[in-house]
Amino acid sequence: MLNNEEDNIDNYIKNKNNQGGFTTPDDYFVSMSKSILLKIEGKQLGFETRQGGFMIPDSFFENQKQIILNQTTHSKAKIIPFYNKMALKVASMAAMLMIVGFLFVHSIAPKNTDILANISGDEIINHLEKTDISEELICEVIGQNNFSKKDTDLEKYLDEHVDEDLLIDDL
Amino acid sequence: MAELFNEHEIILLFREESTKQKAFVKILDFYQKRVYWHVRRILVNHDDADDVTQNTFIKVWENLQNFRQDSKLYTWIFRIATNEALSFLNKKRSSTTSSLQEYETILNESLIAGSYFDGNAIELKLQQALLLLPDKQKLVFNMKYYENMKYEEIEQILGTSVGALKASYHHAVKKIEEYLKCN
Repeated sequence: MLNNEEDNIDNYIKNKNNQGGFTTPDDYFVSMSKSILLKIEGKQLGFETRQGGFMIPDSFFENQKQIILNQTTHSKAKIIPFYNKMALKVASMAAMLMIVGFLFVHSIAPKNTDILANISGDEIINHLEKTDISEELICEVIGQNNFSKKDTDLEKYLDEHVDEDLLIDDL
Repeated sequence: MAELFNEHEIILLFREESTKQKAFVKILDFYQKRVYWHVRRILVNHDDADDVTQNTFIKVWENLQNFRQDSKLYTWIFRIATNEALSFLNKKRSSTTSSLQEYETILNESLIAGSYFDGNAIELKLQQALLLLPDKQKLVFNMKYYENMKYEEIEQILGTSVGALKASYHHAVKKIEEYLKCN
């Protein structure tokens, strides 16, 4: 009898959960810890988790997360902003250098009139003496197409326009 | 135990190519639900909120590299989400103006039909009252009442002064009270 009572007390002590007879709903502490964690997360940003009656489909957030990751981190078609392309930067730089270079060279290159201005009269005469210039070329340069090629005409022209004394002095 | 979220550290991780993906997953884990519910309260419709939440995080992925940290990461993300949701809402409204039914009436019907809404009678009435508010008042009310944000945080997200936000919230509460009394 005494032994039976002792066994009952032992069983009671072993089985009791030190709550003084109070009980809790099944899995209460699991759901409570989840609830506390949600509240802690929310409190970090000052949020609460009231949703005002709105519902979402099962596993919605897991599926949505996967969709977002597929469109971003797992996307094969990598999004590269146009303005970040190294090739474009290099090409732009090269084009810019070419334009600047062309303008620079063009600005320092002497014009034909500048070249002629720097050549002395004697140099031109020497050059012309060494060069065999045809009558056609002279006609072309001075723009007189009606210039006569006949010797008689030339003599006549010289008689009329050239002072013989002056010519003799020069010679 | 909930992992602490250090946004400065996350941004640094995101800027390293080797840890970028890991950082983004952390951002997603931490903000996805909050952004979804924020957007859902603006748009009411679940599918629309889903689309806008996805677009928000795609924009975060594309632009976080250039985030200058003038504001907190979470206010930056919520600003993107709010702008995305409001432009989506305006597009929806303009596409339904040809019909005689206003967009808010359609949303009200979807609430009554119970598509992804299981709120009690009071919650339904509150949502119906919110549909009648101007966008700004609705936003401020949601962010204060449901998301428990501080006015200073809402100010950073919406770019409206604290005084104007307080006035908006006050007007919103008055209108909701009147609606609940009359219906």
